[in-house]
Amino acid sequence: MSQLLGLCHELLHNIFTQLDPSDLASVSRSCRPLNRYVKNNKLLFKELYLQRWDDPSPTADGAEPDWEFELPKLVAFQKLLESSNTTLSIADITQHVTTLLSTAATGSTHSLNVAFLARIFKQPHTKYLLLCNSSLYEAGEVHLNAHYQNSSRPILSSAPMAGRERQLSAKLHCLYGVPIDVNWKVSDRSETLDATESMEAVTKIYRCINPYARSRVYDLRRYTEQTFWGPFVDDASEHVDWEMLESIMVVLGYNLGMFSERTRGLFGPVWDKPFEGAVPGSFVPPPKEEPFCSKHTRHDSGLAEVPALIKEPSLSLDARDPYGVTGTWRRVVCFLDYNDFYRFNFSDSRPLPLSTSRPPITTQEAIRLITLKLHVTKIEPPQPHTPHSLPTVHFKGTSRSMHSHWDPNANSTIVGTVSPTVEGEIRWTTLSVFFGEARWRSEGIQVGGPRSARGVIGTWFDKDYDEHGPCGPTAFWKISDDEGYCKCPGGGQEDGLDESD
Amino acid sequence: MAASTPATQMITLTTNDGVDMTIERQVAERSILIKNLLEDVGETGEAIPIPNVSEPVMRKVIEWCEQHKKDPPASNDDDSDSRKKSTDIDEWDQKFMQVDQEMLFEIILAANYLDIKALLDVGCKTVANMIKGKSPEEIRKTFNIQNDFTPEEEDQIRRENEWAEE
Repeated sequence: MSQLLGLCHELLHNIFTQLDPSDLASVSRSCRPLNRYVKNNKLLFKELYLQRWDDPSPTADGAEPDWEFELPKLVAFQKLLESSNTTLSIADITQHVTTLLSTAATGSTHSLNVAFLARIFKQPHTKYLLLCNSSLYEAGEVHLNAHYQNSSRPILSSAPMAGRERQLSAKLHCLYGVPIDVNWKVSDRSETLDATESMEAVTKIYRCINPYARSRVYDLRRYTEQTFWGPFVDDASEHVDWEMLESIMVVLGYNLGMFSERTRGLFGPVWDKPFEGAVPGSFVPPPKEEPFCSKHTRHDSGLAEVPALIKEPSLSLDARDPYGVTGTWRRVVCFLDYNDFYRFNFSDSRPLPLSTSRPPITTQEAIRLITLKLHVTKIEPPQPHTPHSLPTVHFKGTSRSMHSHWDPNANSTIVGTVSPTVEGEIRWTTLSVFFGEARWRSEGIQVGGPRSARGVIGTWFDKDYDEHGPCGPTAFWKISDDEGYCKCPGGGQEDGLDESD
Repeated sequence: MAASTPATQMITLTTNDGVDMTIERQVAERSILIKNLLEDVGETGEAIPIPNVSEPVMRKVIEWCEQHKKDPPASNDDDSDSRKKSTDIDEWDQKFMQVDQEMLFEIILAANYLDIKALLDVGCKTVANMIKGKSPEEIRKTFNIQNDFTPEEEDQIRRENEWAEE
């Protein structure tokens, strides 16, 4: 008689909770007694699940998760991605990723789901084939799949992705959140990727992707009534155009990276940890600052005089605001010199069809960092007959340059709204008002959902939708729940961020 | 100076095969069962019967307790955090656990009965390591288990567990 089979259930539990989940399958296939023990053993499956992933309960319907279904599902997902010799569809992969992100732990707890996804997407074949397969990378003459045709481990079907799949690849890249500006192999090089050649070696040789992203972001043909001049598909459906959002992220990521380098750490790196902050509710305010200086700041700026009275009722508004608007936000805006912008958009002898990309832009852009101080002014209840029961929140506040006080384009009043799109994405619209006159608008999507730490990524443009522009990319993310918060991330003062060059 | 520290206190255990073993109280108190017993009964000086453990197994258990007598007491919060780093076992414990399978399971049962959580964990991890990465047939062989499935059952159960295959 086997001594293993003689153990009481409690001891078997102690042993089996030390196994990898896939070992459980072998155990239950070994003999009837162990099969009976493992099968329908909720506690065992639950404990093995919670060792690896965040607790997804309560589920949407308030029921206990079906652990014996959930554990094998994620193990199979992990194995398929790791083995890479599969044709797992990108739709399935995106579904798994978004589910893991929406159930990820937030607050001070470190999320197991985020760590898991970061680990899985670290493998080059997964990372590049899944995250670099949108039309952006095709425009950059990057034919990833072609290089894998002779490789022993193709992960996806080697046919180029279709429109919907490219959108999903771009969406995954946006959720991943660390812009991949790989210098991918360009198509005029004929040799194929040697399976043993390291990714690092390959990336050194070839072309950057950000000029192609810039070419999309500053292309006025994409700013139409149907796209609301924002990162939306050009059909008035209000569906997010993830490929546009991806290009914006790549452009801003490139510029923020350069800026971070030039200011030597005064402005710390952002968007550098895979999947971090792409989780609803993941914004965590920094530890309380003692000198509360909101009054000081407002006086100083001499701009929007928000009456002190507004403070009182805003408490209840804040409590009802699902998006966490009130507080201090860091904003980045990039723009091309207007001459370059104009030449880029208006030098065609004949109208260029949208299917033809404009050439890559290698000109460097300007970057501005701005501090937004926002508070909720009004909340409208959710529209009836909408699938997502989220309200529309109106806000007002100030926008102030972090570079110099006199920069006339950055110091303004800002007003706007936050509301759900038909797909349940969180859409932010802002309007910057200079001395009583509206000037710039912006449209953005909060990547990761309401109150995500990642923030809002989108476009800025003329408030009257001027067909001559200008327009460009912008993003903002929360840094404090306190409107009076006045430290910049590097620990220095928020003014005087001028570059030393 | 040494006057205030009492001389090492010794206690006697009687194993189920009737052998008396005298050991340091501090060593014996790695076992929560014995610790509680000593606290409840007080110092009678009488031998404590351990009816579920034989002398050879008790010797192994005491060897482990000697080695670990200075370890901080096991924390009560038995959350999954401490168990996450599952299969790392420290080197001394690994050597200690190089015993035949019969002894290994005896140690696990004794640690469970005597309530020595850290030893129980090491024992369970050792068994888990003997299972990891093995096929059903290899598991049967390792633990001397009979395959009692009918071919039809075996086929069905294999299909139910396909999720774990590479």
